Amino acid sequence: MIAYTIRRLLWSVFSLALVVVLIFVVMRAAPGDPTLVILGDYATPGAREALRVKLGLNDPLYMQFLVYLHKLVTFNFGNSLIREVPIRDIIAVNYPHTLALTFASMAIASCFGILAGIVSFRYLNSGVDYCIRALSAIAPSMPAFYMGILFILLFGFWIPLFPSYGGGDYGKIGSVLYHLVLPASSLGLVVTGFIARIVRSSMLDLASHDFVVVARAKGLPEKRVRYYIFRNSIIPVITIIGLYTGTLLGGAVLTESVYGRPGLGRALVTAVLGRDYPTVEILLALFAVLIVLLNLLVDLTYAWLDPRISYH
Amino acid sequence: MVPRRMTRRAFVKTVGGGVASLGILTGLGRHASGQAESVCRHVTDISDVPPYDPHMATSGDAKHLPAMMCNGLVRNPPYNPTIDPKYIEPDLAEKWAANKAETEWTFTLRKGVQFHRGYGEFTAEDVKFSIEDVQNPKTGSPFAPAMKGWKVEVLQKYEVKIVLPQPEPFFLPKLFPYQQGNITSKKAYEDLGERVRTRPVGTGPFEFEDYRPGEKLVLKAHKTYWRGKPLIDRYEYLFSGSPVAKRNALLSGHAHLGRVVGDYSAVQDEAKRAGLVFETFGLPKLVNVFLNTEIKPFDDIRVRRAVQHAVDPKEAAVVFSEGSGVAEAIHAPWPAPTVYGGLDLKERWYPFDPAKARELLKQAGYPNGFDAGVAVLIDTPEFMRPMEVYSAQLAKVGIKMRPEGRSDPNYFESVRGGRVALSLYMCQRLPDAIVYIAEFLHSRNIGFNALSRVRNKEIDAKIERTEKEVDAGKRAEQNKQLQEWVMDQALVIPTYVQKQVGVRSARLKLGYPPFLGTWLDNYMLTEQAQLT
Repeated sequence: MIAYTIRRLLWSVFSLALVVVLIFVVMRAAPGDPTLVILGDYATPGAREALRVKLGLNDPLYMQFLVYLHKLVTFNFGNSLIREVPIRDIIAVNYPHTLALTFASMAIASCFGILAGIVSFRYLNSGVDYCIRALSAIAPSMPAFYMGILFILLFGFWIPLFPSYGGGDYGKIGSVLYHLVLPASSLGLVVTGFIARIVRSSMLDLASHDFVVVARAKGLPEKRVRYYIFRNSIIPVITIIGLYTGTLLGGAVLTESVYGRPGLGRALVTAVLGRDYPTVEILLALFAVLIVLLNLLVDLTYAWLDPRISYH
Repeated sequence: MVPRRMTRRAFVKTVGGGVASLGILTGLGRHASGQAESVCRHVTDISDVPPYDPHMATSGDAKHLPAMMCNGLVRNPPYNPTIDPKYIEPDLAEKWAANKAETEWTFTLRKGVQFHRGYGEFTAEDVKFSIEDVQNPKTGSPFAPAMKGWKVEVLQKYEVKIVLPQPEPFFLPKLFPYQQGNITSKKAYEDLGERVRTRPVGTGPFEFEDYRPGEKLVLKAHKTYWRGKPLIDRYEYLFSGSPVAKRNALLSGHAHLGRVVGDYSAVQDEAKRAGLVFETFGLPKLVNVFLNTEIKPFDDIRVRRAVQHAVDPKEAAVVFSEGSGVAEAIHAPWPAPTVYGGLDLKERWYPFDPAKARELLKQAGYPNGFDAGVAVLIDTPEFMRPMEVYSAQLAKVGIKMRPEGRSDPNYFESVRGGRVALSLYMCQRLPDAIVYIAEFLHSRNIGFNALSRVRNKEIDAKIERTEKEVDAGKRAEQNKQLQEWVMDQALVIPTYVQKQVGVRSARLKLGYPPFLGTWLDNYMLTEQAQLT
């Protein structure tokens, strides 16, 4: 296992290096000039040239690439080209909101999805099962931003139970959690349907296996049997949770936009549209690292959950 | 497997438990979210603020911030965006005098004015520093041309002289707390260096407190502001990231102010239902379509005139406004009374006449029309719709034109690079016609905003003469002649004037009535603004 982990980490470093080069090349190849974004209406050729010198955009590309690498390696990310604030500040402000939204929505999706799947399996072919199956089909087919708008209407305006704008008062945990309910629910419920269906079908599949028959023949309580079935069906669920968590860590841009929440996704989109090269490069590198680590964590979790799985 | 049914008891327990949890959660949440100070929240639909340094802010989403943090040497009364010199009043300068040639201006400064954050008293050194900061190429300020050649002399602690290379008709308006006129602290720059660009220090009613990228920018009341302590304790500028979230924030009462761009009719209805104030205010923006004379067949005046006869800006204005009346068709690109010295035409120079358009095209050798290619505009629905109207009208005379929206950097590159035949451009400048004429017509601005790309030495000379004309009456007459030439040459399709539009909570009183507008494309707060 340790050898496997080390091998995966080394391979990850190689992947990350490739990603870093690709990000730089693609961003510099894209049309558009950040001086036009900064100066906008007032971008005379003279003003643009003065700004390009000030921002180091006239330096040779290889020098700019070396500067970028230096920033990554030393964790001294420098300033945003457009806003002249440290990129570290951009990450520091936005990353807690992204993490909070990601983990809250995945917690909701996992809890409700797994619960719904188990309930659906337990009350198989009953009214409850049919309801859950119907909702499991409808929820994933709704775009997250549409779900968000529905929730805002329902619980922000018609029955105003929760705030529908912003991330709350940063210094108060209660306020942050209160403002998290609607966006996390609207994002999480989209994934809940997937998880519920996977749990249900996995459990159904395993219910006909020999070990279940043996367990019942031995006289084990039905709850215990269901636990064993569930335990064996969890692997695909972990995969889904891992994949979606990785996706959401990249920023649920649409949900963030609908609710007016800050987040890394929105920060990245803003940076791309503004040709804010350093910010895009650093954020994408950060996402790449997170995805790689997350995938590794998911793989290692398989082995912990199912002792039959081992890595060589 | 034997199907199982959920018992009624189990169902009631599950649902009841869920509702109880919801109730507890909402109760706790409301308790956690209380606030005590007078906080005004201004929401925007951008994801993050553009540069807001007082000498760099060009965007309508950021210009109002320096205006709230800084003063100028002189000003207009707040919310009166006119260039009429009779309204100019003292700001940081108590009085001023000029020599006969109007090339040397001496200002006596107000004593005891304090900068924010303990950076001391405002003096003549700060005036010199501020102007030189704008002029310094290392700053990269886009407003440097406005102060080209100015020399600043500190005569005494509270007296400063500005020497101009030639008399300037707009000298005093350039010293308004707007763009290059914002006065900032020399000591703060010496202390913070370039970091001061994101933590500006001025003498205005609000001072910088915090900037959280992607979330909000916070200003707090400058308690020792020389015009009086502001009645609002804190101003928060919220970056909602989308028009949906912005409307949500306004309609739910979370935000008190917001500029409206697009969906005017729907927003007007929603604002009315929510008890909000929906208002239009100057300085209006001028929207024109420019014809590039370097691209065939627009080098032929008959073709340009044909295009003018083929389109009807009234229809474009109606479509843009969506029935809310925020835009009105114009007959001249820089018209009176919107612009001082503008052309005042009672009817269109080129009346809407598709038959005449077809006749002119035939004379020019295009009896079946031609493909004009792509017409470029900023990528927003509210501009796309009027251009689609023009596209349909031009199609009726055989001219194919495809409107294409582009994001900011691509848009500016395309239109200024001279690669497109038609470009829709919207802007707002110092409201004197020569400012617009020089920017959009003088050949020195080819590669910038001279989008028709005309190279005419005689016209350039006339523009330069008018730029130096300090007599307002003579300048107005010269402006009129230049614009008549522009119309005769059919270089620009005058389209519409678009008012600034905003939504405001009825609880927020701006002070300094009447509220006519701002120079800033946006709301701004003064020390008299208050939340009732």
